[in-house]
Formats: sequence, structure tokens, C-alpha cells
Amino acid sequence: MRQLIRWTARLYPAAWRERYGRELDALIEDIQPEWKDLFNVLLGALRMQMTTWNYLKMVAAVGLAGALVAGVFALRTQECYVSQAVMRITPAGRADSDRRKALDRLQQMALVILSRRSLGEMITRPALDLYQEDRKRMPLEDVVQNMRNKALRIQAVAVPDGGAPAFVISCEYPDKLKAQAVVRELVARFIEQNITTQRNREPSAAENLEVLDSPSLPERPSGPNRPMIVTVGLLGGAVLGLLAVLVWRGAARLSKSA
Amino acid sequence: MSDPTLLVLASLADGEKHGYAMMEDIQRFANVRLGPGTLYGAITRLEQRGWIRPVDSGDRRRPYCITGAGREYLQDQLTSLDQVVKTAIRRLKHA
Repeated sequence: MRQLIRWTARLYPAAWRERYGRELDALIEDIQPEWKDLFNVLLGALRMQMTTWNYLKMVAAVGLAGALVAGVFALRTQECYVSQAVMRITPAGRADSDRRKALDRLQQMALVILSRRSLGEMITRPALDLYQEDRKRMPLEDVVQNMRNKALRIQAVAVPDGGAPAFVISCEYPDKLKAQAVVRELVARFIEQNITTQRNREPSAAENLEVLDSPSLPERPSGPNRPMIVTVGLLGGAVLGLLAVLVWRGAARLSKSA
Repeated sequence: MSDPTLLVLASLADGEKHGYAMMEDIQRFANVRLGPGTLYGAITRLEQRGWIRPVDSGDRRRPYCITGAGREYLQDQLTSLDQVVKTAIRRLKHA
């Protein structure tokens, strides 16, 4: 952190650094550096630079500042891994009504499996112990909601006409082994649910649920896309810089005409 | 009071100090932590206006002292501030 602040202090104008640079470096050595000091020095350097810069330089500098902030954000964002499995539900017959019934059944099973009770049990189970930090600062209800809305996906897969409906179950989590364990658990629950509900039905009316691809162990993280975040920061910063220039010019015109 | 310029002048009012000593002193008497960029921004402005000046020293931690003009400016500012504080307290009592 101290080194990062020292590098940021190089952004002050050369003439200013000639006069105060050694003192500022000594001060940075003396303090207990915090993140806010980095931004404080960056802002100080920008202010000093703005007394000597032209507009183009200012837009470039604010753009770079945006990229730096985005870079810090990207580095502090946890990597996430996505594990996925593919399942297929084979309708009891070939008619369209059988296919619709199978899809309805799938939807009902998903409702039960993604319910608060089911996911809450999965999150708190000692073997999985998911979202430890989130659970310290928010109620389990909210953790379940976040998991359901952000981490889990159950999506239909395109199949040729008349083919049995297939679907992908995926989970995004910072720990790849846990992401895989969650998908494995979801697959198991779909199978259990299917067996439980089929028990009282005629075998000829029962849908068959099978696993086409077992839960994957992701090798590479799915995100964050750090280059993309830095690019967005750079462009956002440049746009902000441009706006600042326009506001500055407007203010200068106003003060001249006053 | 959170104006860095006044805080630096107030810190130097009882004798010369270098950057870190000013930062510590201001934290102690005003409970405000000036970041390095803010502190040196204020020092630059104050020196340009002739309200503080560096003390000759071979050390990288160069001390500064308040000038006569700086003391005068600080006195003016504190008098105005004092008037505002007294008025506000009086009005609060009568409210």
C-alpha cells in the first residue's frame, strides 16, 4: 500500500515534486497508510496538475484515475467459478400434452428445490457451510434470496423438435469445489423429488429424469472480467473528465462575463 | 472547523512542526485526520500566500513555521469564528 501511494505521489507536477516531493515521501513513510490515503494523494496530485494542465491532459488524467479506481475494484473483487450439470426429463409419452406435463413437473420440482427451506438447509449444512461472511451481516432469508437470484441458474437447453426437454443447472461460487458440491446436491434433489412424486403413479405415466452431464469442476474462474472493468473505468473516467472540462469552461465564461 | 488551511495555521501557532507532526497534532486537537494530499495541498497554498515558511533544515522532514501575516490571518479568522460560535450559543440558550 505504501509503495502504491509513493507511486501515486509521482503524479504531482515535476516542479511541485522538486520542491515538496521529498517531504511528501517522508510523510508517507511516517504514516500508517490506509486506502483512503491513496485516493487522497491521487486527488491532491490531480488538483496540483489541474493548475498547469490543458483540457486534453485533464480528460486523459481523469480517465486514467477511473482506470486506477476500476483496477483496485477489480483486484478486490473475488474470483468466481461456475459449475454446471445437464439433466433431461423424458415425458411419459410422445404427445404434446405429455411434454407439457413433464415441463410442469420440472417447474414444480424446481420450486421445491429452490425454496427458502431447501436452500437454507443447504447453506447451513456443515459440509457445505456457504456464504459464511454474508451470514454474519445479513439474515439467512436474504442470503437465500441472493443465492437464488444471483448464484443459481436452471435453464432450458435447446433440443431438436420432439426431443426430450433438457436443462442446465449451474452454480457460481468463489470456491470451485463448493460450486460443484452445490450443483451435485441440486442434481440429487431433483432425482429424489422425481422418485418421491413418481412413487404413487403408474409406471407408464411417469417421467424419467436422467443426468446427461455430471456436475463439472471448473478449471478457470468465470469472473470478474478484469480487463473489461478497467476499460469501463477508463472510458467512464474520460467521460467524467470531459464533463468536468465542459463545466469548468462554462464556469470560466460565467466568471468572465460577471 | 475542517478547513485544512486554518487547521495547519492553528497547529503551527505554538511553534514549528514538520508534516507528520502537524498531522498528529491536528488529529489530537481537532479530531480531524488530514490525508497526505490534503495536508501538502494546504502547505503549498499557505506558503504561496506567505502565511507559513519552511525552516532551514537538512532533514527530509522539513519543519514549517507561521509568519507574521499568517498569524494575523489566523487571528482574523478565529475572531470571526468566535463571533459565530458565541452568537450560536446565545441563540441556542434563548431558543
